[in-house]
Amino acid sequence: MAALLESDAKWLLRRHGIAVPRGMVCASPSDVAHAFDELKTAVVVKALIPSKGKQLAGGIHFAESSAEAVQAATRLLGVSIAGFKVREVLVEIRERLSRQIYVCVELDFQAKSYRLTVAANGGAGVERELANGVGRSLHFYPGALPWAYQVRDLLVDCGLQGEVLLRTPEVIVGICRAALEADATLLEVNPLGILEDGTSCAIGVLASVDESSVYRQPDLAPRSIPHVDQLLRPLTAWEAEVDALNRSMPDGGDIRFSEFPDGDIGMMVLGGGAGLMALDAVARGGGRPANFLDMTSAAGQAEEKLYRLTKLFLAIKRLRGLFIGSNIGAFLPVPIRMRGITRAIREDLSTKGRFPVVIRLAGIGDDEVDPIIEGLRITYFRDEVTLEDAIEAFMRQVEATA
Amino acid sequence: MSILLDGRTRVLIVGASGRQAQRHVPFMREYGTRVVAGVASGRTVDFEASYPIFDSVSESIKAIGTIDLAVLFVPASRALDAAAETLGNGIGTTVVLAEGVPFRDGIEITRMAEDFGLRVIGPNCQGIISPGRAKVGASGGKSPARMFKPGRVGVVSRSGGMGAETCWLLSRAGIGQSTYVSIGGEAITGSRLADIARLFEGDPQTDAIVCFGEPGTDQEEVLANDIASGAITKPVIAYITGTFVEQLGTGRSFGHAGSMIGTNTGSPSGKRRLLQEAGALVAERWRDVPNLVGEVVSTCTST
Repeated sequence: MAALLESDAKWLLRRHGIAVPRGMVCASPSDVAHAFDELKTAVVVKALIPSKGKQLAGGIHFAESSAEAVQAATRLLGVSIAGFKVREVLVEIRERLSRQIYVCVELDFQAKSYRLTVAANGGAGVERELANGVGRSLHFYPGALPWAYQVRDLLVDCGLQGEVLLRTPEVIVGICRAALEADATLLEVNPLGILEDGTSCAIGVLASVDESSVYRQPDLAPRSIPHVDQLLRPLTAWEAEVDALNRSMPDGGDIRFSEFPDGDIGMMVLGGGAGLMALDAVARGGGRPANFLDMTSAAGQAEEKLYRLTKLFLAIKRLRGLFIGSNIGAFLPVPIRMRGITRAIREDLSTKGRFPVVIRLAGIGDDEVDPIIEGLRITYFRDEVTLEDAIEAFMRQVEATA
Repeated sequence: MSILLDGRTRVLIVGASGRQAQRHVPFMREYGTRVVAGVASGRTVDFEASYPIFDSVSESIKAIGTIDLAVLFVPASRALDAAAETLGNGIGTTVVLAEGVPFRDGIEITRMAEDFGLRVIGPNCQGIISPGRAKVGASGGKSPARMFKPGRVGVVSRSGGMGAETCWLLSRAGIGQSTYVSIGGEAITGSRLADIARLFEGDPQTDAIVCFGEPGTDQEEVLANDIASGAITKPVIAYITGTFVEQLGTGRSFGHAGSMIGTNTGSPSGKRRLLQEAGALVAERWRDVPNLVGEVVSTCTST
């Protein structure tokens, strides 16, 4: 799932007719001074980082003067918060609120539907409130947004009365609509501020979107930050290289890759389930995997993709071994995969003899592999062993080399 | 009989003119699948196959009669509409192969299936194979006999590749399979492990159920519940992968979108414990699965 910066999450809501505080994205203190002059009132200065749902600790400052705003921005820009470098801040009008409501639309995987949750007292600390069961929820499906009256029922159930019930339900339905249309997996408005005139304004907004929907969200695509939502941190250098490899492939690339920075066993195991099992087998053998990887190979680019991927692995200096494997393949001929992999190994001088390479690739054409691995100091298995057995043999080689 | 699919099941190919269908349908037919028609909307003029091709599902039904199962070879962006069409035309089982179907579409597909009382397998699944009888999807490619052997153990898996390889492991040990169902790795999926287990429960030709599970979702937990409540009485042998990623904590997914461990459900250790408490046999190592099956299947046949 991909994260949106708060500025883009607010852009999304504005697109659906939901009011957000007037504000500007600023990349420098002078931008901030300019913004304050434009807005001409007390402002909030917020660090723009993809956050997975927690209120930014220390990432929000209030300012009543240009000098204060600039000072806040200077404190935030360039600093790391929750592992992310703050490159921009959002400067927006500080609205006077008579009430703060909590609104959250998210995918409910177990119920296979969307879930709308509201609570009467939003803002900081709402998580504790929600844990105490004060939220009220309903489920809805793509074909049918909640009725405003159903949302009103929820608000009444939360203990709200009076004027807030007049227009807020429709706004909340609008938030649901925005979430559906953007293929959001999470759209949290905390707080949805009720202004003194009874209108509402989305003060704090968090959004994550479904990466599989990027193809049909052309406006959102450039604004979404991929994988970050699940990694909870920026991409490492190695992850960024794999990401670049993906982007450079004509089919858009489909390598899913996570680095485990304190591991030193390279894992190139194709197939999600096989990959997970391989991690377990390495750990059982006393090793620490350096990464997780999963990919589908389109036959047309498999050789090139595997060549470039293998090169990336061989370039990681801390690795003590590389295991390459997959489920027994029924389509992509093994020689195609092996040619890509072995080309990288042959070109690589730095690892020659440095660490064990064990490959377990079985399937079509696996009886044609011998000429391809001629002269290479690698161990190759077909399906005479299971994936687990191949990894056990690999770990023994790694220990012996240590 | 196996479940869902055998040599008599009348199968419709949706997306017949696409590359995937053109590659896999011949293997399916060679294997014994009864492909009665295909849909290639707008391509009936220029696309030819050795089985009847139509512009729509309803046209194909009008022309050739009942269809029992539709397999969707269409890309992810067209899966929802294609599933709406097969479900709307009352086809009993729809198998959605595509990877990358948006969550929103997955929700619509599963909701529609429930509303119609029809079955969806997938998305993002390898398909179904009843060894020695028929297959839909890619399982085994040109030579399924290398991995799959007819027999009396039902296999269900969240991982297509590992489910197939589990069948291979069983076949190597002389244990054949009644049907292998790849249900797919998505977080929103048409048929869950427990749904397929119940089908195996009702199949007189299946004696035991082997399940390959992963981190995330609550599917294994629900299956454990079904075993504990007596809805599933046949022996269940499970292997759950993900020990390593469990110690990385919650909130991250690996490979499959469905593999994310949540706060209350989804941990492999939790799944194993619940399954064991319910009476399932849980393999420590994946390669122990045939031994565990051997323990219970021989018990069955000796009574």
